[in-house]
Amino acid sequence: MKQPLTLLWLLLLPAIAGADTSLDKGKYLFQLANCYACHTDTPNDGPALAGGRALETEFGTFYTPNITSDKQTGIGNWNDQQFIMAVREGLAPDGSHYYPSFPYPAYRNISDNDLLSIKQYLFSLPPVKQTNKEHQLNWYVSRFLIGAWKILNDFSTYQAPAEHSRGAYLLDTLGHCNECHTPRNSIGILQFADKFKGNKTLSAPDISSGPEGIADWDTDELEDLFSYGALPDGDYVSEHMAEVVEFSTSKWTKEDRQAAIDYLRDH
Amino acid sequence: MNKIIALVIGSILSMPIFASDSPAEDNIEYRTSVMTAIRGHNNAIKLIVTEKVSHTDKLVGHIDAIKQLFGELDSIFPAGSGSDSGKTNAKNDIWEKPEKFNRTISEAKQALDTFRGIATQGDLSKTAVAFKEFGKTSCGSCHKSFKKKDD
Repeated sequence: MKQPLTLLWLLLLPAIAGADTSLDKGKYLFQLANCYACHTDTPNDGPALAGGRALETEFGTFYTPNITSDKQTGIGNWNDQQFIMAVREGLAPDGSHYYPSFPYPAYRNISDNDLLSIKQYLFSLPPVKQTNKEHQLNWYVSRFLIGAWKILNDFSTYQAPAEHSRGAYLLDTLGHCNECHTPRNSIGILQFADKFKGNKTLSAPDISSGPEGIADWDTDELEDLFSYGALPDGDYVSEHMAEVVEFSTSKWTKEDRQAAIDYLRDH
Repeated sequence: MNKIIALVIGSILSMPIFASDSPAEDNIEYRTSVMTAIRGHNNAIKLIVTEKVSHTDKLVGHIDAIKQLFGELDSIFPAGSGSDSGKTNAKNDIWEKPEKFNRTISEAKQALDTFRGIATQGDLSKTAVAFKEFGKTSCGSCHKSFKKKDD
């Protein structure tokens, strides 16, 4: 009796090991993309990934949605294609546009494979039943205008040549650093001519390699920032950046942090 | 005539514009000074544990200085010293969620005691590792929830 069981175990092992590896990959990508910080209402000790986190912007307050696998209030009914369309194109399964407070313009360069690994990881976590909150936006902000906004944004973004290094994938795509650290115009389109030069409205500092940015930081200081949130003067980052460090950059491999540092030095 | 001039000058000098800061603003200034002092000692510790300077004999002194300043954390956030009272990076959650704030302060003090325990053993490489953990679980943790970003 023992032998057939052993044989069965050996036959199943590659599949089990493969599943774990894929889940690990999905978890790591999920951390690189920092999904947790926005989709969890940490200030009010909300349940993981069930949304309800208030994002205060100059356009009003957005409340992030539930991205757990709950079928009624989360994304449990989404198929692979719907997940890809949501994250990369900002389109809900019913075809409506998401507001770009969800950084899909940054996520557009995530590969299919990586996106599906993230989905697989998300769906491996416990579902949470929590209804999404309505956004509270300024009167002029409307969902039906987002289609036009996307066209304008695409036109603007395509002026900037895409980069394909690991650092670019980490910071521009998954880490979506430009969303806070690059200034926007009056309709919220990122101004890539001033890439990483900060956004005063969000109190997000200049992280470019220029004199107002990180030119004076040595590599150890950048590593300290990414690994535990320390600033060069003995202080520590606060608010959203503290969450970026806790839930994302501190989980990155040393090689990825170095790739990110090298990319920052070049911009 | 001289009496009238003196009265006018006296009235002008007693106007609010010439008054000193309000007690709330004084509290904010004091708190900021304490935090700046903590930051200074923390940076001194970082320079020692990363062996950028050789003042290892001063390491525990800086930790104890922070311990003394941490002792003030219970009293330097009095009610009415938030952003309604002056320019401060302290978030209103400090006063709106006092249990969470007090718990965070308590954990910060505990983290400092743990760090001190390792630092007094004299192994600088272990101390450097412990310093990062201290930073995360004390100052970093509190700033994440209760400090606004600098303008």
